[in-house]
Amino acid sequence: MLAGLLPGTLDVLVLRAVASRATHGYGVARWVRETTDGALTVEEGALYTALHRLQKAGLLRAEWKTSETGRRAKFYTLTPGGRRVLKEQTETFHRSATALFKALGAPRRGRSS
Amino acid sequence: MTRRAVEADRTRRDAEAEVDAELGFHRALTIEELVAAGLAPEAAEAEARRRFGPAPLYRARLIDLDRRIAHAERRRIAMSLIVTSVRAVVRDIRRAPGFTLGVVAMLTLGLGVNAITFGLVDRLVLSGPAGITAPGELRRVVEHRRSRTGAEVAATELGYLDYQDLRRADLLAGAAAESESALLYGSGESAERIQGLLVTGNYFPLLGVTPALGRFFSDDESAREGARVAVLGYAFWQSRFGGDPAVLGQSLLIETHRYTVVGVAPRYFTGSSVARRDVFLPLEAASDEQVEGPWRTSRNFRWIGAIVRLAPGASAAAAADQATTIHRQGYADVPGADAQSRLEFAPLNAVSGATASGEMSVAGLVGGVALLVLVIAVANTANLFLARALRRRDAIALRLALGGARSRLIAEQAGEGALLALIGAGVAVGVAWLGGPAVQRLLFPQVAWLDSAVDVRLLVVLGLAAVAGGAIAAALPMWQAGRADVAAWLKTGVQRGAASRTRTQVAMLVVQGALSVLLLVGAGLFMRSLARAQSIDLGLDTDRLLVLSVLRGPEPASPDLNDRIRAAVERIPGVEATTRIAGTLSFVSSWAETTHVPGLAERPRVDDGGPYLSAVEPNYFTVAGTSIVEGRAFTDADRQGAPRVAVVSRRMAQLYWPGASALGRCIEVGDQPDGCYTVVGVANDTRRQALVEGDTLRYYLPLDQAPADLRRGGRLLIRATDADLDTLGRIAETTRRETLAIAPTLRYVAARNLDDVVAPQLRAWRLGAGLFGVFGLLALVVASLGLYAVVLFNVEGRRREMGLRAALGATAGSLLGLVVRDGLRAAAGGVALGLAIAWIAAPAVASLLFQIPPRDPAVFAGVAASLLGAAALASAIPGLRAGRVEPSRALRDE
Repeated sequence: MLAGLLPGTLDVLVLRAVASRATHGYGVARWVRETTDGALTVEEGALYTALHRLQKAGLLRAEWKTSETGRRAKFYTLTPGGRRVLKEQTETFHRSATALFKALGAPRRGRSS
Repeated sequence: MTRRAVEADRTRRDAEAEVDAELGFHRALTIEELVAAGLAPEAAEAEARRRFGPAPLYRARLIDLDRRIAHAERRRIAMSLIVTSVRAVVRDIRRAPGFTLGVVAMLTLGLGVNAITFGLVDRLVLSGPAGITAPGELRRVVEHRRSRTGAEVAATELGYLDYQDLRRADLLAGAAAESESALLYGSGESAERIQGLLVTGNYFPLLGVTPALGRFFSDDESAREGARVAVLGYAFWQSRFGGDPAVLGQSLLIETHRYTVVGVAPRYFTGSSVARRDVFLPLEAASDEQVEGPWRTSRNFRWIGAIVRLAPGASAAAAADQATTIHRQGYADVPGADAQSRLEFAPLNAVSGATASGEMSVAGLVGGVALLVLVIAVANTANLFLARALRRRDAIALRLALGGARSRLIAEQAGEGALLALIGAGVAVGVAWLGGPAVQRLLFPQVAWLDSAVDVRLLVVLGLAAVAGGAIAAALPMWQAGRADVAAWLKTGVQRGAASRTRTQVAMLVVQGALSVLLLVGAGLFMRSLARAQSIDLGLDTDRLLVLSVLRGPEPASPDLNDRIRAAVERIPGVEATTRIAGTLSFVSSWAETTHVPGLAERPRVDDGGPYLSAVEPNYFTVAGTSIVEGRAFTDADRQGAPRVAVVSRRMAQLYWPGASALGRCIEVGDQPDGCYTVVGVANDTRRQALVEGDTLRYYLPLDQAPADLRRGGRLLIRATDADLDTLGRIAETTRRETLAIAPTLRYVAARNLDDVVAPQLRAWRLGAGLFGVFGLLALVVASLGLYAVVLFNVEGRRREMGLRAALGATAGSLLGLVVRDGLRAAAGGVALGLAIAWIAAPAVASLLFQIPPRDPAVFAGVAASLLGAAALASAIPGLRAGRVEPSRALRDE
């Protein structure tokens, strides 16, 4: 399914992918590939599963619209609930990453608050 | 496929199509991108497939997820609808309390009437008698035969041998017999009449009942002569013995014997009918006392009813045929018996046919009538919502213009209506809870009612009725409107002047008017029947006569007891006179002797039998108020030893001596007559036992000259100075007290007004007149209010037109006429429709009426007139307002 990904990470990535603007599944897949420079590989089927699961959880809203290429596509946007979860999860990841780096003796890359 | 399955199937197909479209888009874009990057199409496709992963697995997973999303979405919409409805209701209560109150009141009325009648109809008709196992297999036996005079008789009274015959039919799982009987319980001051059911020992097992306490009596115990055991009714056990188990083994004085209590029947068990039962006694043992004659072996005694249980798999018709065959064999040797007599098996709780009382049939009608009231209430509620929609037309039009879905609008309205109706239903349940039992006991006092008038089924039925009724009432105007363009419709509804009454409004008015007419016609028919029944010439002044019933104990009575009691009674203020009568007394007792008239070729027969004989004192005709139409009454000179005389009833005189005077004729009385009684007078006809009965033949003899066994007995008849209920009640109570003071050992003393004795026979008409009357008036008020609202609304909408007319010289009177004519026209449709339906339906209640044709012109005309009158009144009030419109202001408006 997914390789090199910490558990629970895929959901946050997907939420982040649609955070700035409405995006279809293909766009999400491309965004994940590009922003991680191909370091994270995710089966696209798993990606869609995550999209639909998040929609069912009420974190994403789906809508059929015409894409930039003129084809009908299903676009996903964050719901207010999704935005809240994304914020929380992002903070949690930062915290645990900081703790992890600290424990592993890596250079501190904490949040600038 | 069920609706649910269809729904699920559609969801699945929708989900498949959506997932395939989404994944198809993804695949196409991926391949395009890869080809653009230089891959060959086949290689690009393979790479796309690799990136996606196992497609069938993901596809199935996505479809499943989508289906769940669709379900959740539907739930969310429903929830939001409820929330919206609740909000709308809360907002309405704040903003338009009048509207909310009107809707809730209207629906509470409709639902409340149904909540109360549901319990009533359920107990009497739907569920039937309680505590019985598989009541659907039980039948009551009706015998159809021709009487000796050739009249068709359908009766449930059978003989003991008929019951024995039924037990031989193998298409029946069993047969049992019952006979209801008012019984005297206790003695002296504490003596009272209780409701007894005499039953055969196999009655309880046949009905499948288990005792609440102790045991039931067994078949052989019941059949054995002198087995005096009793089973108490549950309510009787509770009220008289406080539910004490120690009641078992106690002996109770019932009529003239002591019965040992062996058990208590289960709660609510009242045998095969729903009438109150205080005690169950063995039929055979009790009948030995109550039926005089060889009832065990003769076919001439009919006093029991039979209940049968169909054998498994046997049809009622086949079983009845078999029982009929056995029945006819039994009567083969009986002279004069109808060889074509037939047995019918009727359901225990029939509302029509020979086994149904008039009251049961009325109960069946009440259920239908209650539903009519609900329909009227819903129609009126719809009109209220319609009026509100018209008031809010701008907001609604705006919403639709902004792209709001009509279905959503309708759903919201329906939700609001349903919610208001549920509030109404809640109030209605409260009303039924508090008032139901009282209403039930008032209407049907003889029925053993369940303790609570509210049960789960009522709540479910009422809840469903409320949701459906409320939703329909609220959504109907919108739904009707939406078939065209809601916004345009709402506008025209107000602006098109005279033609502005919308189709829905008119339809509602017609429905309400028609239903009101139906109810009022019913009320009219029953009221006229009741009036007819009450004005029947009974031949004696039942309203001011009291009959004194005295039952002696085993102690010997002093010889002058009757005289002393009579003297005491005559001293009571309000007592005008007393007289002693033995033998037949109208509505109380009957007595017949073999009567022979010399020279008469064939003795005239009437269905009622007879002739019936009364032995009376000379003052009887004055005291009772029975007039002498020919000849003379008895005098003090008609004593023992003087020439023997008789007075005959008018009908007897007509039948025995047609075309000639009865005076001077001879009547011989008794099996061994010892001479003539010469007819000296003809008395007005009187009833024997029923308000509605055929010809009855009666004659009177002076008490002093009557056969010896009549001379010994007799009752005291008391005439009060007036028919005032207080006077009658005081006389009855004083008589009882003084009598017991004179003879403390008397078993039972009661003085009853004859009108009270007759009253139960009027109950079906009273019930019909009362219920239809109340419901009819409610309907009339509701329909008038509905019309008033509509006319008022139209007048408001036509201000401009009215102003113009006024400016052109129309007087206030002519404007009033215009509006009233419009209102009448709206009402006329409903009245016409209602009269038409009533015309068709009325014959169905013909059997419940008395001497009134079901299509009685007076009733129909009266109802039409009163409804149109109400309509005129309802439109006159807004019409006066129209007349007061200031032309200049009205024209400036808008």
